Amino acid sequence: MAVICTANPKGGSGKSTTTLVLATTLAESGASVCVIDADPNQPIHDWRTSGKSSSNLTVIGGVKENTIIDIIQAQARDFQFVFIDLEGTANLMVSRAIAFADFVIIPVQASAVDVRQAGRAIGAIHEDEKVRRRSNPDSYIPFRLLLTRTPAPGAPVSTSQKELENEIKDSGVPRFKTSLAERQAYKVMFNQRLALNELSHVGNLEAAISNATQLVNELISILTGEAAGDREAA
Amino acid sequence: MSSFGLKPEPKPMPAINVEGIAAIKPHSQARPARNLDEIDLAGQGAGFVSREAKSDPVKPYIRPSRKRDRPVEQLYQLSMRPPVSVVERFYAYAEKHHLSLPRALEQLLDESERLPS
Repeated sequence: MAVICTANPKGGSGKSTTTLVLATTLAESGASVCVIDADPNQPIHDWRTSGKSSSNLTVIGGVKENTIIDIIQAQARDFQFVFIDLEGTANLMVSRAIAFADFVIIPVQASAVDVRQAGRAIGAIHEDEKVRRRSNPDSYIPFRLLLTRTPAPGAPVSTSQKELENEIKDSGVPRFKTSLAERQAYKVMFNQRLALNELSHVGNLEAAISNATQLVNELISILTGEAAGDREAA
Repeated sequence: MSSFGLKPEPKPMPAINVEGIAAIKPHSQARPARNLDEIDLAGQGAGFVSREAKSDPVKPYIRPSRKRDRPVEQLYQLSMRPPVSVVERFYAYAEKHHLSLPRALEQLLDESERLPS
């Protein structure tokens, strides 16, 4: 079970960055990883086709509403991890991908707009769960909010971010303990079209790799633990 | 910086959980088929709607023709003439009554006034 989609109807929340960081880090550790780039801007497909990265990462682009489900199901039989990078709008492709996902990552920046839009993605998850529960009452779609572009550890955290973190905690919405910090390396990955471990002369690259590793480890612990739930039954 | 002005010891890089990754396997079998209409209906319930154009936005190229299939606007017949047979009958009437054409016209108009309406 490892169809993971990154969804948030708000653009610029860090979906593609999260997907690329996780996918390349997993591929580097020897996992078989595929990214389905369902964003019309094709940032990851462009990263793969226009770049010279030696990362063992398969990227599929040019996905349409009527083909996404078949592509997900075909790739899920061949790869350990299938990531779906979705467009930052509330479109049908997003809800279809969520319906066939084993796990949903909802990246959010520490802003009220991002969190409000994240609520729409959670709404889509709940709507699909209702449909699934008609046949399996225990069915659910595991998901986590992921705070992105957060200040690096040790840097001062804004009051608005603290308030937002408290709000998320109070609301009971599950979130990753690890955040994806604002790192130059994550931007340079797209500029140079390379994986994290292939970069050089980038400020605090080790911290970026360390952050990515922590995020991957938390994802793995969720997938192998709690989220193992009822996928097979569903 | 520590209180003595020294940089803190760098934290060791976290190791990736390779065993955990190995535990994740590709799907061994196809998922049970799901009703796409139900999925879409659930998505629409949360405001997720189609953004793709339903028809092909690129229309097939049609070579322009110089032949005008139909007139742009109705062409009116500007040279209105009475039917030839009426003219011939009028000439015949004038000849029969030995009248000039203006006189024959006046006589015809007088006769038409006498006809019951």
